[in-house]
Amino acid sequence: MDTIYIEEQISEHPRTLAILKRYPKARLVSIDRYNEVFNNASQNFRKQKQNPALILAKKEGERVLPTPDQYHIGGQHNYYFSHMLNCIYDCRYCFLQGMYRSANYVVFVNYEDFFADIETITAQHKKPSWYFSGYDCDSLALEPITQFVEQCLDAFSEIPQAWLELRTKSTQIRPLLNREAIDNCVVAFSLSPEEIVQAEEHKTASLEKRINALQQLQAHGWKIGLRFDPLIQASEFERLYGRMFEQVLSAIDIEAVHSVSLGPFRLPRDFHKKMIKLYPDSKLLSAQLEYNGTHVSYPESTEKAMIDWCEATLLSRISSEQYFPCVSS
Amino acid sequence: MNLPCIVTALPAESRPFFEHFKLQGRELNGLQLYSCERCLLLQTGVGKLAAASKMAALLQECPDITGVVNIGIAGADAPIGTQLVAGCVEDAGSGKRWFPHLPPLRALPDLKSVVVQTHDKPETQYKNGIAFDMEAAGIFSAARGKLDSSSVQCIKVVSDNHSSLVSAIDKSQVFNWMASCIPVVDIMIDLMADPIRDQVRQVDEFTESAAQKVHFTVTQLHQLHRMTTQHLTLCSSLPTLYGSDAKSILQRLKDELAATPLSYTNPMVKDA
Repeated sequence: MDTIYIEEQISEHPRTLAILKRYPKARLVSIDRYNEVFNNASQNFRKQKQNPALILAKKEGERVLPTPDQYHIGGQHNYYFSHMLNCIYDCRYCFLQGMYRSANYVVFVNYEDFFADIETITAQHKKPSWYFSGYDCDSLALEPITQFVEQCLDAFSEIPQAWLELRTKSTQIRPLLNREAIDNCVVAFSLSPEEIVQAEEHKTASLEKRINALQQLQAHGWKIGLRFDPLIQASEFERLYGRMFEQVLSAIDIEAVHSVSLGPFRLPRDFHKKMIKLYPDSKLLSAQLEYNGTHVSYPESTEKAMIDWCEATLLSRISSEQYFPCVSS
Repeated sequence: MNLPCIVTALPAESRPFFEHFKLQGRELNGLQLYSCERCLLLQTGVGKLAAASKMAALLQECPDITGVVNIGIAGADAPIGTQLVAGCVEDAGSGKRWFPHLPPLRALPDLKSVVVQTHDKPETQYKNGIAFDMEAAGIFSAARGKLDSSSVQCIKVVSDNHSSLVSAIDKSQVFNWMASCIPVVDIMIDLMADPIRDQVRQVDEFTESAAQKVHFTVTQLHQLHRMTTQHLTLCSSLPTLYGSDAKSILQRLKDELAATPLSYTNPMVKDA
């Protein structure tokens, strides 16, 4: 990190000091609240993405929020939380490019407040609650710096009625391999054909490395999830996705997979508008997309054909209990 | 005029850049401006108000300026001649602050970042981490309304401190300090290049040219602009427009785009 903005109220927080110690040469800028930098109107996401700054802050207000209705993997009570905003990767389809004005990373250092909120919410339900951590960031990618997951797993191991999904494209799995697996955690990998990884998922680990990470985690006793999301349309779609499914499913113990989900490429209309201005040279964003109410997606027939084909291919290998389409109605 | 602009307050601060960039003076609707193929230079005069009004006037005349680098002298608790980059620009009067998105450390490894605090009069209560100037907040208040946080930057050279007073500054020193900043300004100007500028310009020109031949409504022009961008991206060429009216032109272009395959075949990826 070249530049680190620090909220004054957490400037002496032990996690702030630990993170700063890793970057002795970084330029430090003191701020009152993270949103005076992060939410400022005149910012260019694309330019900032070339050298994002780190913002260390305290998360106030609501920290744990209900997920959209279709976002679940079998649980009845579903929530998401973000100890971090933005991602170190640069996936051209990512909605964060349209949602945030800034490409800087925000890390909220008050982890204990997240864990306390999760404990409180879990106690409000008789049935188990699910907590999704990789919504506004990649759960594991910045783990060497934040060490959030390590502490999050400690917290979840004390709340058995709370289930955690870590969602990632990262191979930073050492903190998971250095400890015993816990029952109430699923490590879910977002997976795409290697050609799409190389063309659209900039700075991420290759498909092969992600499969290797899945194998290691499964061998270590962790529940794993497969997230084929977003499905990207291509003229050789069936060849690319068919080969990827085979690569993934032949490398792991399919019966032990906790959940498999599919999701088509969709974006809120406003996010799409912003993204095509930022990246007019992106082939993915220049492909034929249609406005569908408040969203942008592939034409209905194209999307349906992609999902139907993937669903049929996957369900020939996995059980229907493992499958969650994650498609909005 | 798709160029970045160097902004100084004083003639002594401008002079090294005239020589380095071989700038030519010209008048633009009453605004004295200097330009070359790489950049512009605006000299605002002393003070926040002069800086804000000249900056705003320039952006009004040249709205396609790609970036602004404010360079000048400042007082600070640091050795004379030290080069500083503003991590924050603050208007001491109103308390308003701007946070430039700083360039990569590898590009400017020797520049310490500070808060540049703009005062109405020379300030001599030097403090660690703060540089005092008289223009930066004026420039930022005008420029940040038009340009993003990566595109408005501020570099200051320490001209006065506890042991060397404001009254001791002389023009030849200022010339030398500014001359020493030329490599930094060069880098900043390069970093402000817009990666999609050429594509946007090509599409703008194509759309304007099409609108001169056929009548398009405003909505249709937006559609043509978007589809031209898509065509350029997907097919690496501008489209050929078929049809005699806007509606049929757009329909044929839409059909062509729909039929354009998006292939991800990569010879470097081998089949398993």
